[in-house]
Amino acid sequence: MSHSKNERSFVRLTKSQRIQHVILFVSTGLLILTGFMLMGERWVIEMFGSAGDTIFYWRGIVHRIAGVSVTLVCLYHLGYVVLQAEGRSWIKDMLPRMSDATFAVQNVSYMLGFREARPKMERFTYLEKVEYFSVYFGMFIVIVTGTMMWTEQYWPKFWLDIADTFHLGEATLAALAIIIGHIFSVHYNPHVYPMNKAFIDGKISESMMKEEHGLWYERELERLATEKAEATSEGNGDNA
Amino acid sequence: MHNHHTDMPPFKRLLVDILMASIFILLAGFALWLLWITFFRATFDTGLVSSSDQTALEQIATGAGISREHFHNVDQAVLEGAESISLCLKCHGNYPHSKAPDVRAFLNAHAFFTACETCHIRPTESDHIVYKWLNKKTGMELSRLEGKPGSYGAMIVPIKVAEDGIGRRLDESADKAFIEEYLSLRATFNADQQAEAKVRIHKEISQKPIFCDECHTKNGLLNFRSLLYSPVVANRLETGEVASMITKYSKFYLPTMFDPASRTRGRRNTP
Repeated sequence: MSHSKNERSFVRLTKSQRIQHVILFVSTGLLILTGFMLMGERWVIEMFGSAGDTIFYWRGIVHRIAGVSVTLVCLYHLGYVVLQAEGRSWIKDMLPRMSDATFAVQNVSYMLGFREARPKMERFTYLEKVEYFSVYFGMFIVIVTGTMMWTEQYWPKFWLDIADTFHLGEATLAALAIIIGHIFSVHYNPHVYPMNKAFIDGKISESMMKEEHGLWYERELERLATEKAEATSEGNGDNA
Repeated sequence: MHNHHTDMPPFKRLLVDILMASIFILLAGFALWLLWITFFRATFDTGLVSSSDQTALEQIATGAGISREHFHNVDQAVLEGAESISLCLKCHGNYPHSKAPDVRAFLNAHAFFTACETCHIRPTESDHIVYKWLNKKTGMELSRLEGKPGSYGAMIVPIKVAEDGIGRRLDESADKAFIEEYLSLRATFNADQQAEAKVRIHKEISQKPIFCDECHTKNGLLNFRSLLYSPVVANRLETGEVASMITKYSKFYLPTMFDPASRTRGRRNTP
């Protein structure tokens, strides 16, 4: 199974989705960096020397700016999946179905060598669905607890301690999920290594689509054939 | 299935592999560090006695589980023994300030890293005074500040520079032998004699000490930058929250919970 550079490709991410993703990952990267600075090892912080105060002053400001931007993109996304046709199609395909459980079992069997071929999966695989909805779960926790800590003067210490614990715990979970679950499995995936460019150009190659999203590929081919047929018949009609 | 990577010229492919491997190591290292801080790193040193091979009951019986450190775990300076370097503290004690309840904690905290004469001997206009951090044990001047804030094993000491360029400590003129001898004979003196001795001992001490806002202000008596503080810290010492509280408010209002006497008074006044 090989492809050339001129291989046909399909739209994986639209422009709006790519912009949302860039805002999400730049903000999250800044949040992880500036957030875990608070947990930094003493000897590293001491290396900052007299600049440490200034660096940590800006750390707090950058963390809050990135927090606001990630909150805004999340709110925008909620509106996007409800109000826009493109977003509604996205969330419809993203909703978990019973078939996802079957795909999971079949895919694991394939990877363990008990199956000849990978199951034909939908537009979003079961793993992508888990990742997507864990962002909802995680963002809810960090946004609520982050807002609480930002407005600490209004909260009893008891609730702030809980907020702090949840904020750090969810941040750790999310950082590990992004590094191990997302970056490694998306970019170090041998199909696309060294980089899955879908987040830049929004495209997925025909061969990868066939391999990882078989059912979606077949549906897209059908849709394209129908559209072509319709266009042809319309064109014939004009000629008549 | 193959990808872009296999189409690359070998050298470019090697570079990409090295880059991707570096990113991999960096990210994996960060992930491992996250696991480390989550599960293995102690958040802070509680000062508790190590008690791993004792049962809980044994710990209670031997008192091993009880922290022997100062309650706030910050008073390292107390343990360092400030009294060993100052003659004044022999009579006045480690917490020499007791008169003003609203500020005495600030003053006593300062006593651990500021020589008494810094505030209690007011230099005259013609005096050329420089302030130095001197090591508590050796008396040598520090060249940089290391350790927790205020706990550098050193004190701020005013040094009077004479016209010949030689610096002398302000407390150098104190008659140490006289003071030591007085302390040993004090019990045999009557009140008048004691008062006379005290006048002689305190003859250098200014009636009005130097107050907070004479140093914690822009262009104050102390130049915090030449006292080895970083510009940011020096700025905070001059204009930070505590410093500006001192300069803006001459009277401090503390919650009455810190002042049980005033509450009792309040009750007594209520008919």
